[in-house]
Amino acid sequence: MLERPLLEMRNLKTYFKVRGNILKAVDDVSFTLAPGETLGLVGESGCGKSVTAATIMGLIPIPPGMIAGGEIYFNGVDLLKLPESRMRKIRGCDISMIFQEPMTSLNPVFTVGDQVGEVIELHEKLSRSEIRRRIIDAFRLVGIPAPEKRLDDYPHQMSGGMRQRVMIAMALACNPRMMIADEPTTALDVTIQAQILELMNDLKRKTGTAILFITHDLGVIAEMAQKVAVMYAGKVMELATAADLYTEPKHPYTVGLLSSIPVLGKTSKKQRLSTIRGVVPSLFSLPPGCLFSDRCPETREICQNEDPPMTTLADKRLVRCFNYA
Amino acid sequence: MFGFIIRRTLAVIPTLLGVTIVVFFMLAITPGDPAELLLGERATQESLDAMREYLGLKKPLYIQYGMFLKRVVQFDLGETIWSRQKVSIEIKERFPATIELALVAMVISSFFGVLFGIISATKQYSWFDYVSMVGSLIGVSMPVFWLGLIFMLLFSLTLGWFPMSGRIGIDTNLQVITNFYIIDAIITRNWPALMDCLRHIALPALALSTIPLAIVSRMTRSSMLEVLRQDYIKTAKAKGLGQMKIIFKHALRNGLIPVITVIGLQFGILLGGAILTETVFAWPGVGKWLYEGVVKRDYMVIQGGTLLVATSFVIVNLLVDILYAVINPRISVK
Repeated sequence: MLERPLLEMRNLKTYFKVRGNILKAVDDVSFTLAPGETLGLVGESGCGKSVTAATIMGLIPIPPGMIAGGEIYFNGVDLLKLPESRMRKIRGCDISMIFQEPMTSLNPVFTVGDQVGEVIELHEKLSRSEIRRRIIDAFRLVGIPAPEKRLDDYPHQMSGGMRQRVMIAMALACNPRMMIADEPTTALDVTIQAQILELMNDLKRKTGTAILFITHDLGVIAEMAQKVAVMYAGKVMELATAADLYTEPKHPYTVGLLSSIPVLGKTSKKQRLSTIRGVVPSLFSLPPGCLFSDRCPETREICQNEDPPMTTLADKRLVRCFNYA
Repeated sequence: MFGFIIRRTLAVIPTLLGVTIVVFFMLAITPGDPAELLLGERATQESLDAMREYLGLKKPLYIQYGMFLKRVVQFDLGETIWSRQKVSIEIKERFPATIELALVAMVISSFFGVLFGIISATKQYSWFDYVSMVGSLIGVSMPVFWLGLIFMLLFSLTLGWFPMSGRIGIDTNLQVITNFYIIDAIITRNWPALMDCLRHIALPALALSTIPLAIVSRMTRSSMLEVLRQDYIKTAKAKGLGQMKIIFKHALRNGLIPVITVIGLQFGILLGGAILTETVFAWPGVGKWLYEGVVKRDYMVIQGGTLLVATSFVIVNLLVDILYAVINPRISVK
């Protein structure tokens, strides 16, 4: 990756102040995203994936949230230092976002055409008929049949898959340089999920939009991303190319995650699925030392006491583990 | 949408029939001879006979009801016992006053109620939120006749800003066309009369608006808090929309849905004549008229008044339902 990154996150710390405690929802997270690249952000619920995305978009409510440190360079500009007025111009235009729940992410009292048109109207000065044409184009792009008719539909007249297509059309309406997809397929059933993923891959090829793809589904990531960052309790544990990560996971947490995926034909009926013992620690009581130490099969004394540093390995992957330090 | 309006309007008919049945039996089940009841003890035999004929008292009950229904449809609500005036005429004279007062009170309470509710919701737990919520609690618990008297004491007697009572000053000339004085003053471009009407309506409307205002602002607050947590608000933010547009376009339209029901119900109640307020401020509306009818045991006034109040309530609810469907596209489909 010699290209200058489109997005460069450096040591981001997003904390929340809750009942006198400081919750480190995102703690020291760094990654880069090149133009046209897809970075997968994976991890269990509550590991800080969505907070990372919301921080990029400037959607963290302050208070109780606070940005305790770090920089997010987008196109060479630190988003965290931008005033709200300029940030609003970037949202939905340069960086757009799609969400997990297509059923509730669209406003029920406006037609889908209105809602997609609103983004175009906001960011580009166009006439009504031009806006309408752009909405139809966007709908066609995401494979909504009969777009001229469907744009006058209300969200409740559409299926979940169609609504997610509307969300994607909305996200792509202003030709963004980057799109954040926050679990875009989690709420959809498997066949629709496959369609949406195919659509997103297809659109990425056509538009060259970089994607930050957030999910807890490692299978989905394998289909979508070139690079994968595995998050755990607010920290990135391992960051590698998708190929490296899947063939040879290094961090014990990544190893655990990958081995817990059932493989069709290989996992016999009698064999129990492998799991990671214990549960994700509460952000209220994180273990000292390595955050994964209390669940790690390879834990040592040093893991219990010291925070492992991020180590760059020979294949340029990053691992936060004393095994490689 | 059009089909929905038709269906909803037709559904009003059974309700109205129910109202007429109740009103009809109110007189029918009263012990004694209804004709005597209506005409008083000193009525002559002829007039009693005429009344019995008019009411169809010698015929079976269901025919009596049929005759009653026919009279109601023709707006023939009989004569009042006390003033020997046609009930329909008395209503025509008084109802505009009540509608006018109710409308002004509802405009005040809806506007400020929604506004305070929105500010409270967007600035939850701020000083404004606390003050307006405590204020609305006080507003709800304040007896309106007491508040009316305090307003009179403060704003009329002490400060002299507003007249004490009535609808218009005795020395103000106004050509009455619609019986809605504010509208009449505007139509005839009679600005001094308009000012006088507004000054007269200010205190009763203000007193009348306190309870609805409190209810509307609390309702708006809780509804908006709920809506602002929804995913589509997050979507609106991610689009790059400004705070104002998010609140007033995306959130308010959804947040208003339950509030409209409350506003409609409150308006329906006010149309029934704000009996206490109208009495305290000597406002010549149906509330005061109905109250006097009850005190004088004037059955025809009670009957006519009840029909009027119930019908206006039903119509207001119908309008609310239609408005509901306009705001919320999910409703007209069902």
